[in-house]
Amino acid sequence: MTALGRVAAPPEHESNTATFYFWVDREQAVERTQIVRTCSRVGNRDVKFVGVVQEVYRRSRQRDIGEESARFDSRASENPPFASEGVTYAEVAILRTEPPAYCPPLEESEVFLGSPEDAQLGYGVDPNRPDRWLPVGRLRNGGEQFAGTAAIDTDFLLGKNGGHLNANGIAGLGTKSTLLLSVNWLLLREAARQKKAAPSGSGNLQVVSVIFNVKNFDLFHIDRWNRDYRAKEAEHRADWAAIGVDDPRPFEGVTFRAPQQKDNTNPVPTGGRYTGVTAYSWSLADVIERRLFQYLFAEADLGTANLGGLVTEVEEFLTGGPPDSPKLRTADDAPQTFQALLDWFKKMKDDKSFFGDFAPGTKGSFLRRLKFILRKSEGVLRKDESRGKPLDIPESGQASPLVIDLNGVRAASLQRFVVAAVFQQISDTQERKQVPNLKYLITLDELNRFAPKGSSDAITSLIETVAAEGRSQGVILLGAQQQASLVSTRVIENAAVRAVGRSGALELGADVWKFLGKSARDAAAQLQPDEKLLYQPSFREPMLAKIPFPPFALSEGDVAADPVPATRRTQNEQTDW
Amino acid sequence: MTDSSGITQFLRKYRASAVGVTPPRPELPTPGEPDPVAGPDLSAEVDITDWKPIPLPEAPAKPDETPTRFVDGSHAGQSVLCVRSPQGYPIAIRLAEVGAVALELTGRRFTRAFKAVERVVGFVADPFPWEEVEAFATALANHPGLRLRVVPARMPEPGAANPFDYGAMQTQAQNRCQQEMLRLEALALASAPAVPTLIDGQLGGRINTRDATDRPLLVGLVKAPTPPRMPDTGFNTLLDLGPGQRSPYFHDPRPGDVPLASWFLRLASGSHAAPNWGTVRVDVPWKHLERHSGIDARKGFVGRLSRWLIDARCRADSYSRMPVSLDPIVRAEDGLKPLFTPFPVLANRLYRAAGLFRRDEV
Repeated sequence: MTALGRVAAPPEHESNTATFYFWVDREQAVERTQIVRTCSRVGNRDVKFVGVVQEVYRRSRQRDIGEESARFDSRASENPPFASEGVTYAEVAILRTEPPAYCPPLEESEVFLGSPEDAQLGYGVDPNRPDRWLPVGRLRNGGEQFAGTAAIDTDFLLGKNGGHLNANGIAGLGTKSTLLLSVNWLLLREAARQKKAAPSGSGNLQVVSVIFNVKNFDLFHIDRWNRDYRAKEAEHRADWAAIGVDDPRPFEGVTFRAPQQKDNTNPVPTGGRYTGVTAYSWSLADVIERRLFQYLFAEADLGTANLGGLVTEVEEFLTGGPPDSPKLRTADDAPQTFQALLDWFKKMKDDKSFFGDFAPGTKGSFLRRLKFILRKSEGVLRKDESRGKPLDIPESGQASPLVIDLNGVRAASLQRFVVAAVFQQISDTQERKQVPNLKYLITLDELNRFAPKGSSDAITSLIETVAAEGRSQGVILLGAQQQASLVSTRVIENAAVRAVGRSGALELGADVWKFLGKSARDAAAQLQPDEKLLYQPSFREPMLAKIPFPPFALSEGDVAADPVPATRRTQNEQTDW
Repeated sequence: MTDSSGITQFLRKYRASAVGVTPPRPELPTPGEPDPVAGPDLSAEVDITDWKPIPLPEAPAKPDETPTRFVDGSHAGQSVLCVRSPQGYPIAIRLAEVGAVALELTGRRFTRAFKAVERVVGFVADPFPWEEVEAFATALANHPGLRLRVVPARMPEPGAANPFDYGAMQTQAQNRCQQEMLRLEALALASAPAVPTLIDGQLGGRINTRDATDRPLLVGLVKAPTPPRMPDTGFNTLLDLGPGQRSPYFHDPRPGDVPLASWFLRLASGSHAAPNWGTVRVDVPWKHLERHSGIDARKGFVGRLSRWLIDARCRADSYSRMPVSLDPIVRAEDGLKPLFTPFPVLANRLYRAAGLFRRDEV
């Protein structure tokens, strides 16, 4: 193999334990993102260094612009007899050394283009533990080459050493959703593979995939082929095959849930999907039984101690039954519907003994907030019905995802309520009976809407708690947003795996991105739509991955002309992966 | 108001030009006729009494009339030790690295086709017992950190210098080391005899007449030329040379060495350039010129080669010898000097080996 060049360490370009430079052989080309390796004899041992090219520079032999011009006698049409023959050199971030060594490589060491094995070593992928690493893309090795797969350490993704995946990127490219849904698809596939390999295996991965749809009804088509995928299927299949997936296809057996309409039992119209969608809603009894009452009120409502206290006391009044199995109170003429609650509170609020610890103004505020919520809720909160159709999150692994629409819920406060209801249910389930290796994958875009930075309301706190502690309960947040700087810092910081798509320069200047070096931030501003920078705590530098194009449609406009799947599988039906 | 017309008038009349600091140049011989036997024939192209600067033609050189291989040497060293001979003479021991390099031009790109670097120790060895010199040389050659080759210099000729003159001993050592550099340059020259070659420096002493004659093209470029003894017209012509102008060529028979055709060429001028700065001497074997029959053909060859040299001149202001350098030779230097060991490292290793390190660290 021909060397790309040799390590150089002149003044101002000294090697250290994190970085080295090498000049490039004039017959070779070096590109940013390439994986390279070099070996130096340091002391009495040979040390192999694997790194990634951070930047490539070119320097001419001239001292200043005047000399550059003088070579041409300041005439662009002039052709000097000899080429300038400057030097190309590259800056390399060291990813790993073998054996572990805290020393720089020595000057004049030959530098070679890295192989997939070198890339594995660099990013700490243990080839003896393929089950631990989830390939999600192809590892870039320059502009057109690849160095094997870009894989995520599931120990960091699924809770053992860390948890959660957070994706960032500007709007309109659809790549955040691609990555998050691909991770869902791959984990569902892996769970199925383990089940097939060992049907009774106690250590098998179990997955419950819950995907929130936040824009149009885009994700209500993930069980259909993507027409752009179909148009270049051979090319896209090759990318999937390179990460070990020979049969990429849309999700199968997906359960779709959408908000219930106000005056009937049907879900709201869901764009181009006309069948296979089930409505969801909550009655007052559902809300009390699931301990969701406080989530009806937003931060502005609960911001004052008085109103927050009154909400808590009303909830306590409405709650009966044992603590681990709350029920809507039926004694003392307690209201049984939201409308009854409204009427009851309106009638009683002027009675000084009615929640007598609170001032009339506080009670008036509570009443106004409740009226507002019920008016905005449309069909999601059932005013006059004793039972709704609450979202029930499975308590064991499923072969197919559950897609819950939020787009049909117009009020932002109600969208947050739906998200909180799901988190609360999962949290209650896992506290009650934790199943080993059961992982709830909660996919939620627009995190800035559900857990905004600086907010302290109940829903933000719930998501923060999930981010901080959920991994130990098997709750894995696959979150995304356009600007991480606008999302709760706890949510972002607790994501062990981060994926950065093309992001704005202003956003990348925010503190939340300081974990990326300058080169990575520069790269993030120039990424192609199918590229992601993947980072996890064991990486010294992020890996640049090409995410394979999704076979599933990510919007109604993506849907291919293939036949629509005839039937929806039941939740527990085994999908044949 | 001060009247400066007197100043202007005088300076204009006598062709004033602004000059700055100029690197030292060789002393000129006194004007006069050259030695009629061994001296050059200055009237080979134009009678010396009619010498004038000759503008270069714009015609490009023919492919086989331009060099594609460029040879340069380098010698970096200094006296680092002084010993006293059995007679008490102060003998300077010079530590040096010498090297030579050849670049080959393919298209517009250079490739280093030859390189040689040696570490040498030069000193006047005659006054010492030879077996002691040999033992010293063997020890220096075998020392793993030094690998030095002793190059023994001769005592100055009797009567030429006082043997107690430290400066004379230094010069002898320096000249001996320089000889080693010339030897390496000769090796570089000999390694590709069929390639048109330009060497930085004079041709004399580096190649024999037959080898020089057999080559397709051999050019020597002397940056600090000492002009021959010649009449005033010759010196006036040199001072009048403008950039892109040459002197008439002349025939230098050089008994015992390669007979040459030589001429002076002004590569560059520029603001504040002294009149003796920017001029080089170009040497080619006289036999090469004789390949062109007739004075016009010879003028054409000299003109085209000179035009090519002008085009190949160094244009980097930051290079101190830019006005007398060619770009390929600067590149050759760039390709050679990084092969040298930093001198203080080498000197300190020698001091350590000599047991003098602590007090005499460089």
